[in-house]
Amino acid sequence: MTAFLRFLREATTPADRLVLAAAWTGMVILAATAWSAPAGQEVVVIVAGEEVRRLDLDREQRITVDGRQGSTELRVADGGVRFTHAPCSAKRCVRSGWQHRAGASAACVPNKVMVRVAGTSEQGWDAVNY
Amino acid sequence: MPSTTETVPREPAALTRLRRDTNLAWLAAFAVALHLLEAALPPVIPGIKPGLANVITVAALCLWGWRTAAVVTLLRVLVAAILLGTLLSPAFWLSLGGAVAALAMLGVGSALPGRGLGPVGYSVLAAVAHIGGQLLVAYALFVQHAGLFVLAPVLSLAAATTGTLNGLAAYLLVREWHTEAAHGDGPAGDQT
Repeated sequence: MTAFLRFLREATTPADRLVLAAAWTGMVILAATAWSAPAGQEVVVIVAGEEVRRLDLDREQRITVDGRQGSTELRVADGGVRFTHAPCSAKRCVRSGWQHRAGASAACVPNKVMVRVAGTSEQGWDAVNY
Repeated sequence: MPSTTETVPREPAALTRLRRDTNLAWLAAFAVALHLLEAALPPVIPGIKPGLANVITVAALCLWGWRTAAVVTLLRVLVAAILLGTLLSPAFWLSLGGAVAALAMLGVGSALPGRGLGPVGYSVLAAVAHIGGQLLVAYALFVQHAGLFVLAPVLSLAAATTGTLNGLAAYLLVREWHTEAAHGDGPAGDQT
């Protein structure tokens, strides 16, 4: 290890080390900015495919929405939204937890209730393949 | 250099030119060989290659300057494309775009004052410029979708890694060349 470091020292000029440091930190910054979606601003509540409400994520509140099977309770706090109670049996919607990022969503399929976070700039893709 | 008469202190201009052309041809041949070798390797991660031929570009820059590096690199891209049968195909344009961007960056890098950059710095700069150029060419010609740039962090991580490793390889190559030339029994390079 020390031999390798000595070799690195010998192989680089001060300008080289500057370039190395810049390239590696730049890479980390690039990854951090390119891969984190912006925080959402409001949440759209959709029941059976139709938008029923639009809530500001900055205002803390609890709301109840009526779906196919019964009433679902949503909670908005700290710039995020989550399901808190649902009439369905699997409770996947409750377990999917807080949704903060623009484009993020959670849904209760049996009750046909869905929440979707919207922001100023949403990401237009789910995944990239090539 | 053995000479028959004591009164010829400098070699003729034609010989200097021949020496320069020979060095250029050797470097281009090495670069083409590395390029072909790399094309034969299985792609471990698609879109990411070690860029071994850039070792030659960087070594050429350190030993003989930017013009030699540029000629060697452009020759390498052209000849390798002919041999691989990818001339004028997307792969060729990506290769050329990367090479031109890397050379432009090396031109800027070699103009730095003071002790300046060594092989490692040049190599990292070239690698980063290479993927930058490739992404721009890919965006301009093939995939007009901003989703392309989601790849940028992956590619720049690869560029930083391969750039550093190739730079160390180029450093060893340049050092070896200088010691060989100093002992007088190796390939005769114009010392700069």
